[in-house]
Amino acid sequence: MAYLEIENLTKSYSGVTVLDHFSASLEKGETLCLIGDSGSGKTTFLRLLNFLEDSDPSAGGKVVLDGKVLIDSSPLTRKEKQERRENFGLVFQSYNLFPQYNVLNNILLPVKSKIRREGKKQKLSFSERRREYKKTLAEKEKEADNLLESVSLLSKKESYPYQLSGGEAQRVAILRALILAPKVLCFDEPTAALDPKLKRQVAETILSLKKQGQTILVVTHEMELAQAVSDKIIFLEKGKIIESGNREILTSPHSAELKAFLTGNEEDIPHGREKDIDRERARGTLFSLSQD
Amino acid sequence: MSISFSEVTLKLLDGFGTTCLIFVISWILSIPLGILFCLFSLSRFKTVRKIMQVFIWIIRGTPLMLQIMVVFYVPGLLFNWPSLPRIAAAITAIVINYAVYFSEIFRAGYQSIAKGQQEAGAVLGLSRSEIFFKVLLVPIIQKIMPPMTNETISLVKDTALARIIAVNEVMLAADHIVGTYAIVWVLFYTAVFYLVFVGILSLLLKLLEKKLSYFEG
Repeated sequence: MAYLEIENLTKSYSGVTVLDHFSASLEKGETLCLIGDSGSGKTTFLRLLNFLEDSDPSAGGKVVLDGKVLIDSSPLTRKEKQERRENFGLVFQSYNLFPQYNVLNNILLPVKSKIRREGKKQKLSFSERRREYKKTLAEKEKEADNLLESVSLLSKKESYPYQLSGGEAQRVAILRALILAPKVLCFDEPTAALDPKLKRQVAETILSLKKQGQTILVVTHEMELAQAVSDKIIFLEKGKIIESGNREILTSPHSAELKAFLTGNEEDIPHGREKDIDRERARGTLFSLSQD
Repeated sequence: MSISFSEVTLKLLDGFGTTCLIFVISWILSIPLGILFCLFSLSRFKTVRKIMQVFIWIIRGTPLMLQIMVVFYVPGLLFNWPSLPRIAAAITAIVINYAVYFSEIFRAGYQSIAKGQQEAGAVLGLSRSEIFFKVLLVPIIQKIMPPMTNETISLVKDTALARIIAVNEVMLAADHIVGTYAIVWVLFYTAVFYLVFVGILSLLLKLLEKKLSYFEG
C-alpha cells in the first residue's frame, strides 16, 4: 500500500458533483501536482483532505495515510477532525497569516496550541504542565528561528504581515505549516498573484522541501510549476480525473482535454465539453529548474 | 426671579451626574447583551435566527422614547406589577435598544473577518475557542471600533430621552431652569456639558482605535 492512498473521494454541492470518485496514491517524499481549470475540483480536493469539508459518505470515499484510515464513510466529530488534521499542512492561496501577530508569533501560535493539547493528554499537574510548556516552547522558538534563517527571514521575525512582501508572506505561511511537522504538505495555487521572480522562488522552496523528504501535494494551474516540481501529475476537469501520470503527460498528453488545456485551444475540446478556459494561465517558460 | 451662574452650574451638574450614570451603566450592560443577541443572530437554529430578526425589526423600527415609556408604564398598567424605578426603566430600555444596534455591529464585524482566517486556524489544529479568542477577536474589535465609537456617542445624547419619564437628567434640569427663569443661555451652557463629555470620550475611543490598529500600518 502506498504512503497516501485516496479512493473514491467525492463531493457534491446541491446535487452538483464537484469532485467525482477521485482516487490517487503517493509514496513518501513524492510530489503530486493537481492541474486543471478553475472549478475543476482541485481546491475542493485539498479542502476535503484538510477536513474543511466533508466528503459525500455515500460514495464510500477513503483516505489512508501511513497505514492509518483518516477519512472513510463514517462521520467524524470536531475533535477527531482536529486530531487528524495534524497529518496535513495547508498553505493557502492567500496565505491567511494572522494580521495581529508578528512573523514569529504567527509561526508559534499553532505550536503553543499543540503543546497545550499534548500537556493536557499527559495528565500532568498544573506546575509540571507549565514547566513542560515553557521548555517545549523555548525549543520550538529556536526551531522557528532556524527555519526563519533558512529562508532568509530571521530579520523579519518581529514584522507584522502587512510589512511583508507577497513572497515573504508565503514563506512564513509555509514555515507555519512546516513547524507542526505534517506528513503531507499541501499548497493551494502557490504561485497565483506572484511575479515571475517570486514564482521561481516558490518552485525552489518546494524543491528544497522535496529534497528533505517532504511529501507534497500542489494544486496549480501553472504548468511550469507542475513541470518543475512534480513526480506525479493528475489533470482534472469538471471534478473527474481525465489523465494522470508522470510529468511527461505535460509534453505528450493523450487526452484531447489535456491537450486543449495545455494549448489553451478550445477547438481541441471534444464537442459538448467546452469549458471556459482560463486564458490567463502562463504558457511561457518561467521555470528552468531541474530537480538535480 | 433670577438665578446665578453658579446655581445653574450646580443644578446642571446634578442632572449631568444622572446623565453619566445612565450612560455608563447602559454602555456596560449593552455590550455583553449585544454579544448575546449577536450569537442568537448567528445561531445555527433557524427559529432562533428568525425570532432575533423580528426582535431587531421591532427595536430598530420604533422610537427609543416609546420603548422607554413601554418599559416604565406597561408592567404596571397592563399586569398590575410594581413599576420599575424611573432611572432603572430608562436604563433597561436604553440597554435593550443599544444591545440590538451593537449586536448588528458585532455581527457585521464577525462576518467581515475573512472565512480564511477561521479556516487557517482550523487547519493549524486550533480549537473553536482558540480560533475565536486568538485569531478572530482582535481583528473583529479593531474592525468594529469606528461604528462602536459612533453608537457610543449617540448613546450619550440618547440618555436625554429619559426625561420623558421624568428622570432628572441634564436636559430636564435645563428645561426646568429655562421654564422657570426664562433664560436661554442655559441651553447653550447645557450643550457645553455634552460637547466636553463627547469630546473626551471621542479622544479616548480614537486612542483605543489607534492602539488596536498596530497591525495595519
